[in-house]
Amino acid sequence: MKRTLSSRLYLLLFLFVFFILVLSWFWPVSSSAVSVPERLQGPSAAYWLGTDQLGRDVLARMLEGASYTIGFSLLAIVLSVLLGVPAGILAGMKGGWIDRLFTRIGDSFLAFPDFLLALLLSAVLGPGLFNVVIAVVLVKWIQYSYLVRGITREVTQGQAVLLSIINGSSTAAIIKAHVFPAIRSHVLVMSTTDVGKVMLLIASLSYIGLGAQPPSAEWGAMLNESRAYFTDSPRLLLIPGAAIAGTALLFHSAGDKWRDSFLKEETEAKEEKQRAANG
Amino acid sequence: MKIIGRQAVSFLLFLWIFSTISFLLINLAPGDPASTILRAEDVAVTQQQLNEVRQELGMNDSIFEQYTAWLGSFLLFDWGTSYVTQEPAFMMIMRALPATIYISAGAFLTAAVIAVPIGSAAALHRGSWIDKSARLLAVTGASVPSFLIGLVLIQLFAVQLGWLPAIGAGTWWHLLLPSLTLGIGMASFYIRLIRSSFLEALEEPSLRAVSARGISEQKLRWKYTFRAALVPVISVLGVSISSLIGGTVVIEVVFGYPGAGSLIVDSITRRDIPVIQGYTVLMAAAVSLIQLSNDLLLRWIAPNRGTEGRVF
Repeated sequence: MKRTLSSRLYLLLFLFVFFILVLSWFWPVSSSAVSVPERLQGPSAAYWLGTDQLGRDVLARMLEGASYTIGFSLLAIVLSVLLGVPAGILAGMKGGWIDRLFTRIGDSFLAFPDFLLALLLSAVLGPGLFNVVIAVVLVKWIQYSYLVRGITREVTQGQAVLLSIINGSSTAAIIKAHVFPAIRSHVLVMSTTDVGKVMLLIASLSYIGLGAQPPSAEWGAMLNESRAYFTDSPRLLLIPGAAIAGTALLFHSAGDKWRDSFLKEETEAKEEKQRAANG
Repeated sequence: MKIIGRQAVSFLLFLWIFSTISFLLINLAPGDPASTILRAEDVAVTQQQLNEVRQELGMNDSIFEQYTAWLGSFLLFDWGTSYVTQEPAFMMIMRALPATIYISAGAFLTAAVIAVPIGSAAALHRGSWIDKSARLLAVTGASVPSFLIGLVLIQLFAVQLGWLPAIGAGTWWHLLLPSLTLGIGMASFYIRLIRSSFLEALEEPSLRAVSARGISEQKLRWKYTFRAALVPVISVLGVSISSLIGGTVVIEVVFGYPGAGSLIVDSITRRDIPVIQGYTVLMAAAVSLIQLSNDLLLRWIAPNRGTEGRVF
């Protein structure tokens, strides 16, 4: 009972994040309209979250920031999954020299800091969010393909797949029937946690001036622009700060929770199999 | 011995590939170093001057000639001259590095002080409220961006209480806030790691055997479990160093702390390519060297584990 309750809560929260992202597309108020006479105002009917040091509407900026901070993190992880999963299935199913080449190259880059690559790319291409996305994808896709490769190998060496091969199933059918179901939950868990991590990376890089550039209202960039006003209007830092931490917390804890429940299911399934085998 | 040789070869190979990629990226990218240098000297730039500087930098040679020249001098620690300060890039990085190592060491210390008691308590009282709150703490800690923690600590201890200096370096007091900020962020990762490796260690058959021999619970817990739990902690050192690279850059900018991190950010904004190149290759080398020595260390501490203990 408790379990379904909290998974409903997560669903609700993710729907809320999605709603915010959609809303940020249609929000009618400008996030960059400067109005100096109205600067540093507290929340009011006209400005629900008040105004910043240049008199810009904080609510509109927060919404724009959501599409940067969350949107670009989702983009980076989706691209990594789209690249990494097929590569992992290929290496895992084909084996041989493809697999060996793959592990050789992958080994070195597996623990490579995406931050360092993002620094290098912003040095070469100039600072910007797209460069951060490229850096993340270059590092992350290998991690996904490693994950997928391992599971694929395990699955394809099992009896079920052997039976399918004997029965004449095509490779595509085997991937669909055996590989996908096995990797799905693992990829979901890893990517959920990763979205949280990448959000923090994007916000951090924007904070130090190497990610989103002003006047873009990325949440980390907003914190940077308002940092001199901590004493006078802490609201300007606490709102984007809480938004970053809250959204990252949502993704992290959802990934955590799913990991636990999937792992539990998996060990239960294995035990079930064991019992059946011992019969 | 054979394994060591093979790993050393793949380490060198990786370094060579990475440095080549970074060389190509930087040299094929748009932007003209010659004009960067001349702008830094703050004089009106003429075409003739530009040509002279380009000639000096070897930019008129083919890309292959430039590459061999660069690789040769790079191996001899001649990493070029900073476009901005006209100092050797190697010297600039080496001068900034100790400051970064100080706060990294401080961060490790902070993380250990926070994570070891919490992580082991969570494992020993598995499933209790201690475990649950430790877990909540770890997830929350991993979600709050480090620069936000830094800003709040500055506001609290420097601006409002006035106990500690907010920015800069020079005294031990300057190290305190940056190390604390960095350490808090790292601690969340270690809490979970120490918890899970403790749990694993507690279930280790060899420990059960020791316990059956009648060695006291206290001694068992602290001596044997602790040693067994240490192995996974060492095995993720490479990951820790990776995260420290990002961490120190951000924290040094937040605290205006003059280390390698703020040097690299300044260099990126000024397009000071020799420094950027030196820093990135040095850090890539550090990360993979740590991993290499890690593998060897693990083989030495726990020979039967092989590399299975690695988390990825």
